[in-house]
Amino acid sequence: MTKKTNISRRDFLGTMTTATVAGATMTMWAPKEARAAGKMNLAFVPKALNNPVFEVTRWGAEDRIAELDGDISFRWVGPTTTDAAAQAQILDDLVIQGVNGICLSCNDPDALIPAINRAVMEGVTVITWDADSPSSKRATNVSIDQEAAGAEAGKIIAQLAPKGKLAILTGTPGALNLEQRVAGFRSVVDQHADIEVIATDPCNDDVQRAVEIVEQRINATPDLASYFFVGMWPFFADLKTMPQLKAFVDRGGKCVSLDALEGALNAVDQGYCNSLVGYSWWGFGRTAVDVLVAKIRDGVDPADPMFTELFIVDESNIAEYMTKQAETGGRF
Amino acid sequence: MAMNAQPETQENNSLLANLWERAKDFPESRLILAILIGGALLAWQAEVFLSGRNLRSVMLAISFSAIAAMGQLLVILTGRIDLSTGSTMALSGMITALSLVAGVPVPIAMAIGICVGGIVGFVNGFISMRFGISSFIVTLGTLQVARGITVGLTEGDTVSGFADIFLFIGSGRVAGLPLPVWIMLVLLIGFTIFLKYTATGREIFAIGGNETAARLAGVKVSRLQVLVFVIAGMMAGLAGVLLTARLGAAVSNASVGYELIVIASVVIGGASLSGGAGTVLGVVLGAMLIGIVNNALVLLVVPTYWQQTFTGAVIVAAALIDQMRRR
Repeated sequence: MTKKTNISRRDFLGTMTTATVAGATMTMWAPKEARAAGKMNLAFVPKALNNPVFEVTRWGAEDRIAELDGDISFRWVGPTTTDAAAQAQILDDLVIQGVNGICLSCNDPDALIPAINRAVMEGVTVITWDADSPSSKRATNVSIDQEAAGAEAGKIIAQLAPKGKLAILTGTPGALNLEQRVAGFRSVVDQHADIEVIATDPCNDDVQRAVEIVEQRINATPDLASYFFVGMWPFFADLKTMPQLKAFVDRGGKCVSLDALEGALNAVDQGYCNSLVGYSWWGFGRTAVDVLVAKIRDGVDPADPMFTELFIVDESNIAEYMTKQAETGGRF
Repeated sequence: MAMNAQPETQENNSLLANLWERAKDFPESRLILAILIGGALLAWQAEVFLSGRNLRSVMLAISFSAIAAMGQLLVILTGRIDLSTGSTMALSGMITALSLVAGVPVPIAMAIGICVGGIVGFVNGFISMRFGISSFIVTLGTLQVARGITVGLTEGDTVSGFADIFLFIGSGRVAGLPLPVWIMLVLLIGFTIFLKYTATGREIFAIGGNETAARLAGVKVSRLQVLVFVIAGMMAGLAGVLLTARLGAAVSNASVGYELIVIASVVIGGASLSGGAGTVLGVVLGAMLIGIVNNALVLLVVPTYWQQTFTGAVIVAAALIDQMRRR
């Protein structure tokens, strides 16, 4: 006895259309280069495609590949929004597609361990940049010393505002790199008895929420002496939308932020922020390509970790950085 | 004198009892009470809560979610849901931003952004009604599509550099209040009149109450349902455009997860997720409660790692209070 299955014409056509569209899309986007022999296939996986800071690393990687001799293909692929599970799936897919090297910024240090280790077992060289997964089998982490960056910001605050109330604006609570920055910062400011840390407000990496918090925190604390931004979230908004921050700095309040991309440079230039602790997102991309190529082509094991230098931007050198920004479009 | 005092007291007591009975019948009374008590407690703990600057900041933050929530209310009134709100906001804001930097005049760029929201809404409504697919699934899909287009258009980059007049629309003050707050208030009145005093508004309630009965009564359910999704999309689009004006920048990760805030505002405001019940005033009050909770996180310096728990607990408590009223 065979059971007869009834499928309506409409359902059949709908299913076939969906399958055809999906198949055609996947075929169109499949990395054809990955199948070609003798070519080195590198893939970079940011935390999310919707975060502009990662784009600067992409420029660095693309620029470096263009400078290098050899047939190197480059893919930039990631989840649309921060999602560790989606990143793990992307890693598995890249391995199946035959990439030789992967560089990723981890949404979660632990959740990515199995996917990273699976890729390494398959012979793929995996490194991380920015956010690390230290317990995985990745070859190295191209980043900054997060605690040192936080401590550097702490020293600047301690110098600019050695006493009074201090507020901290952070991103997503629990994010490893942000926690390390805050720990480094606190290790310095907590030694200054006259500095009182009154709040650590999380904006969950949301620019709107960051702007709201800054506004409300300054309103709520008229005697706030200093403000530390663990990342440059408020500076993605137009500076003119934050008159409270300008008034705060104008009346002698001190603001220090990590990151020195365009918006943050403008903030120092226009008097919304006193000092930045910066590092090169563009350089991350270049260094990561060099590390992957050396490991894949020549078997050179990289140092672990590979920390990029920090630089300080303040009123003494802002003109120089503004010129650099204008001349290179942020490629520095 | 003593003889007269007793009847007077009795009269006062009966007046209060009468007022209390009337207030109990007013659908939003408990929510208003919750906001007043919460506000009073907050003001007691942090004087600055009642300062003009703080209240303006809170009202501005509320206005975006309240505007998007008014559109969501219509969808929920019909017994459906729109999960694409946050992504639609981001897409509309981004399209407006790109139009502005391309030299399109501000009013036209804003209209384009709002229309983009309407198009997303039309897609939601049309696919949902034409093919009988659950709005939950369709809007879950368009949530991804709209976000994907937003990211794809700029490759994750931020778009900024707008004319001052656009920034004024996002946060400039008119008669002491930020412009988006005035827009929210006008929409509050407009949507209330629409739902209460027009045949179309009553038909929307009828669909949510009993769709089959509404159909048999001659309501063009499919057409009206598509219209509801279009309005919801346009409201999300307007909120997204205003949010872009408020920030002076369009960021592709704007409004991620905003749909949950919007849906929570509608439900806290007393709307039934199964449709047929809800008010526009309730939605605005729901958004207000969430806005005050967010403000409390800052003013009361709620510990960083406990903020989500605090927010979630208040939302559940508000829903419970509303449920108790219904019983």
